[in-house]
Amino acid sequence: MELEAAKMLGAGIAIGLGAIGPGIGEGIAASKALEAIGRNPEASGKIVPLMFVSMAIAESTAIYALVISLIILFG
Amino acid sequence: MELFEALGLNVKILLAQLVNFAVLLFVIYKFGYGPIMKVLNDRQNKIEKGIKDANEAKEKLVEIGNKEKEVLAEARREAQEIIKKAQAIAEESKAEVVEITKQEAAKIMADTKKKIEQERAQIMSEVKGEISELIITATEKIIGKKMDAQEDKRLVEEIVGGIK
Amino acid sequence: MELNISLAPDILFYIGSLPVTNTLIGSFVISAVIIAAMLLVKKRLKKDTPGKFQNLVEFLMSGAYDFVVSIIGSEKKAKKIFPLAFTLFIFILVANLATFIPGQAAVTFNRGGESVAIFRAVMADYGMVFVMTMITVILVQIVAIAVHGPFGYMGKFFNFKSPLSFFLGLMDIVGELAKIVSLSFRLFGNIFAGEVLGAVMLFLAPFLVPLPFMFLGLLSAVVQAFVFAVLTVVFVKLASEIEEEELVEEASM
Repeated sequence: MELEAAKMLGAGIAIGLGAIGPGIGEGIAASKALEAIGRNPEASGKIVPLMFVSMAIAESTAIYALVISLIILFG
Repeated sequence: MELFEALGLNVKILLAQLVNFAVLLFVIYKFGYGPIMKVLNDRQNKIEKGIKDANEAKEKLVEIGNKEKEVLAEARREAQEIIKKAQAIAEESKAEVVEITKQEAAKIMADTKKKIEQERAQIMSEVKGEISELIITATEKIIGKKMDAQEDKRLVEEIVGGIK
Repeated sequence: MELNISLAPDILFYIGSLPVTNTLIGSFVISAVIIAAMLLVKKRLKKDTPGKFQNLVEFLMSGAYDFVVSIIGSEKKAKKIFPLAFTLFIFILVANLATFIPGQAAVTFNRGGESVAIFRAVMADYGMVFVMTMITVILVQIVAIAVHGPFGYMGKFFNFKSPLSFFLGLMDIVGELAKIVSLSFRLFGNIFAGEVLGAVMLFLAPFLVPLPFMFLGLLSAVVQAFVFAVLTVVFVKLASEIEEEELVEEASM
């Protein structure tokens, strides 16, 4: 296998695998937040911003994967 | 690193963007954030002051109402007192008047009694005088008639009994 | 038609030795728009009877301010951090939304024979995002040093009480560095991915198909602006908090 092709493959695998965790995590966060809103609709103003923030933090792992794949591609 | 090149990082561009962002921050702080927050704060203060004033006015109104009630009660009490005093005074003067009247009545009674007594005494003495005169005339007349000792005695006794 | 995706912004021309990229121009334009709007607000600022425009701005600002206060928990701290957070939010929001103005891709600049797009999503330039991230991160470090003192600050990273705490201290350094990477690449990655996705969809099917992705892009444009500003506030809050351990130490001293 050529080095270039291996790099591309590696980058793709890195971001692909790295996106699984945060995908699941964000889904859980969203589902829990929606459950909470369903139970207590008045609190949605407080829940939604916090949900976005926690989802953004959960996203970090995918971002590290993105950085790694960029490094693999261009580093 | 090649990655930085691929990302297009360049110190000069970074500096330019830093300056750009700093200017933006400064302008928003100076012309947007500062004045608007000031206006909002001012307005909030004004509203709070208005509410405070309204509350104070309400409190004052209640206070004034209370004072009014107090004053009314005071006035009523005073009026009651004055009436009571007047009643007392009236009572007192009535008693006095009664007393004076009684005294006067007593005095008049006493006077009258005295006068009656005097009159009686006078009448008595007059009557006595007249009786004596009568007796004397009667006696003279009787004496003019025939008189014996027995009859004389009886006569005298009669007369004296009559005087009594 | 050829799909043209580049990670770096394209250089249009040089002023002296300063390379002028399309995103640099974009950020200037967006800054100018925001500044103009702010000056307009300032000029038409009325004290007691706000107009519609002023109402909107006031609503935005007081809402954002209340939100910052609710996150950071103290009015005094909120007052200090609010201008930066709000500027970040507005700047990122306007920059992201500006990419949805149609017809931009058609405007190109001829540079030595090849055509280069003049407009590009500003946040899809890692340089711009990196600058904002560095402002945030450096501010956070300054706040941490100001609150904990220089020795307390260093003590957090170099701790010789036990091997475990020494290791955790080193991990804290990694954590601080990771903050830079995650904060900047979150925004950059989202916007860049949105751009690429849009371009690919347009390339595959120019009509209707890209619409759902554009809605998704619209959502992430607002959310990312929000998240960047909120994370800035959260980081500052974390840095400015005195931990319980330290309080215990201070009390026992």
